[in-house]
Amino acid sequence: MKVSKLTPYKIRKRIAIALLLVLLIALPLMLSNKPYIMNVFILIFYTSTMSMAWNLLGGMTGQNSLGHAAYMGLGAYVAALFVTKAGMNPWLSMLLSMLIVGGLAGVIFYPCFLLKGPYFTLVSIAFGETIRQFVINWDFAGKATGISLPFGAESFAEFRFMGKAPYYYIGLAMIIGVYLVMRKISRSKFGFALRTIREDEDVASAIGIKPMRYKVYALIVSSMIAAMVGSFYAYYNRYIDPDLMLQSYSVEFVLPAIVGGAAFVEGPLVGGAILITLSEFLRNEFGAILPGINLILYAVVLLVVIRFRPVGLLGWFSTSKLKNFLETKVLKKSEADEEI
Amino acid sequence: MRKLLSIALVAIIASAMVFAGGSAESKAEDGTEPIKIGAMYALSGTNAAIGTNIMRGVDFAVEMINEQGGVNGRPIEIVRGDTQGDPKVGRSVAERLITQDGVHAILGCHQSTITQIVAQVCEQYQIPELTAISTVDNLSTFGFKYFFRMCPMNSIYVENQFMYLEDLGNERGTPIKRIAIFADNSNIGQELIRCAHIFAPKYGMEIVAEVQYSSGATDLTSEVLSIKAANPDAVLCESYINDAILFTKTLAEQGYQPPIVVAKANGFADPSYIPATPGISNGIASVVEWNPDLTKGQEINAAFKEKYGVDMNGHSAESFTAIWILKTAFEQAGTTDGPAVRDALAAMDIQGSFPNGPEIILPYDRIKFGDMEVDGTSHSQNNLYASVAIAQIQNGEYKTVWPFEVSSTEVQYPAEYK
Repeated sequence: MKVSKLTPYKIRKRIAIALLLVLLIALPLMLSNKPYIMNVFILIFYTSTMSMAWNLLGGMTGQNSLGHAAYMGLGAYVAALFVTKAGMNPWLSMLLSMLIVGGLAGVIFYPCFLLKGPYFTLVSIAFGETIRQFVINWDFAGKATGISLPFGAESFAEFRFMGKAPYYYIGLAMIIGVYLVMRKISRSKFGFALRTIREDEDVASAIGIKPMRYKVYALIVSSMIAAMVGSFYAYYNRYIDPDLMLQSYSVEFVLPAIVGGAAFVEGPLVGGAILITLSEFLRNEFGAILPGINLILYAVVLLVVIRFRPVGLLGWFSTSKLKNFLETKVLKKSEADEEI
Repeated sequence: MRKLLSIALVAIIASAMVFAGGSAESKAEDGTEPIKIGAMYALSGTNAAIGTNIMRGVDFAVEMINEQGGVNGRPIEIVRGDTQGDPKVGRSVAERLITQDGVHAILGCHQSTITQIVAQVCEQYQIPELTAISTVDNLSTFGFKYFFRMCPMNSIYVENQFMYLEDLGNERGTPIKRIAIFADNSNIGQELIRCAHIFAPKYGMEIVAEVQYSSGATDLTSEVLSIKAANPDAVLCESYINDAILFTKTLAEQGYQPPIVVAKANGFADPSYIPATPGISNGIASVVEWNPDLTKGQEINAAFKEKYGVDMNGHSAESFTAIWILKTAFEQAGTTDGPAVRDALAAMDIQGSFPNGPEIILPYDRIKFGDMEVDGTSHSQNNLYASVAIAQIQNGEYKTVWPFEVSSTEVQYPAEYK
């Protein structure tokens, strides 16, 4: 990127992004006595990361998976097994877990992509349930009792911390890293190929894109990210059980993308931040007064968004007056700044 | 890139919402400030009915304590935390209760998965956690300093089932030898199988059939037939409510009447079990933590029934007792300081009845937390004297039949199933 291209608008935009980053990095210092809020941020980080993983398949490729909790759970299990049974370093286990889950997902799903239409969705549900049943009956992995990770002194090498700040920063690094990868993919040949497949597979084949190959690649990347989040989840909570793979949890990773805007790389981030905050807020405010009302209100918000803004909040925002106002008045965008 | 701006906006709104959500700063203690106890149960979702029964026991005990002057003049205040039956939520709720609401102790949870994650959070903030309901054995094997368990763990439940069989055999003069196990592949189902293999040899019994099924099964005929083929003297079972009903109906369909069926509570102790199996469940026995016809706690149950219109169940009786334990610990510690209350719990020894309080209404007479060993695994800070009772369905009602000293009814043997 050449410096000469930077117009005042772009400079201001970069300053705004830098400010946001500084705010996120400085947050733990301000919140050192509010671990609960830190926990909410960590939840937002890993849920949004999972949702970005889903979005690569669902939003970009048009293959709606309802089994992402299984990849995440499997990732958590593989990492936890390496740590507890082989005494392996957790960071290395996380890496191995990503490779194993990515490979496994690729091998299992390769034949499924021969089918068109909603079959991938159906198979993803079946796959999730199969993995869960397998783990429930697997002696080595503790069956339904799950796995507890060892407690002990704080250690970076062991991925074990007393405070929230280290998990916060690792979570933040994870979400930023995955976001950058997704943005890169979205603007690359790979990303355009995926979107072409989403719009019309036959056209894609006709112009020389092999839908099968690209779909499998997308699935492998997506499940690898899920495995990474799963390992993070296991290290953070230090206890996992097969319920982690329940299909209902898969939906929790679809919603942020849908609400935020599945067509946008940033959709899951917006959706994740809003939905997690909303559900925590509703539970804190109403959960104790009238149990369950928080879930009903949450569902109402979802219905409203999906009914009135089916393109997601970002889809609405990108054509709204608010955005126009922000860009022209706050950041003083000029004609020369039209994005490519 | 431009959408990042909107994310910034969202982040700001988000943090504003969370900050507004809860910042109940604790004031200096002036002697009349309430003592806060966080009660963490599933108040919504599939386990909400269980949570409701538990919370009734909690509220009933708190009302009783506050009426008689609270803890050294300070009332007890319960801060409810809805776990929604989800471990992630459980963690989040525990952190909020401790750091935002400033609770001095946590009571909970129901599902052992959540209890384990909450125990870690409590350990970190040095806030005592007492569970009245979570029975999975390994909870007490991590050496947590701030985690206490009042209820018996699964292996004690199963050992009590075996003790019942042994006592029954001795009383009848025909020892019970051949045992069949019927359990699902869930966490607690596996626990029954594991524990039965530990205790069967100890009590001189032999496991002749071990039948496992998947929870939520639509047909249990072949499972029932394989138990029938093994012809056991007694069947031990562990099932969720739907499976328990299906199992009982399948027994009737197949015309198979095992002489003794002892369930490990769960589905068989569910309020909807007996109405769903009219007649055919008579004779089936189950572990109960408490039962209205127990010779203990009659007055408390009468007052409870007046308030809520239903009898206490095992869970309400347990949570009632747990609140009294916490009250006594706060009183004996003389402060709400986490480590001091923890030490008071560790040193507590209650025999017969609570100081200035009711008798222990559960089937045991003494509460003391200590270390124990079961099958080579050491457990810490479990209630050493915890045990359960066994009740049998007679004329469509659970009647306590064991231990013989707290029961008022004779066992029907063999079970009549009509």
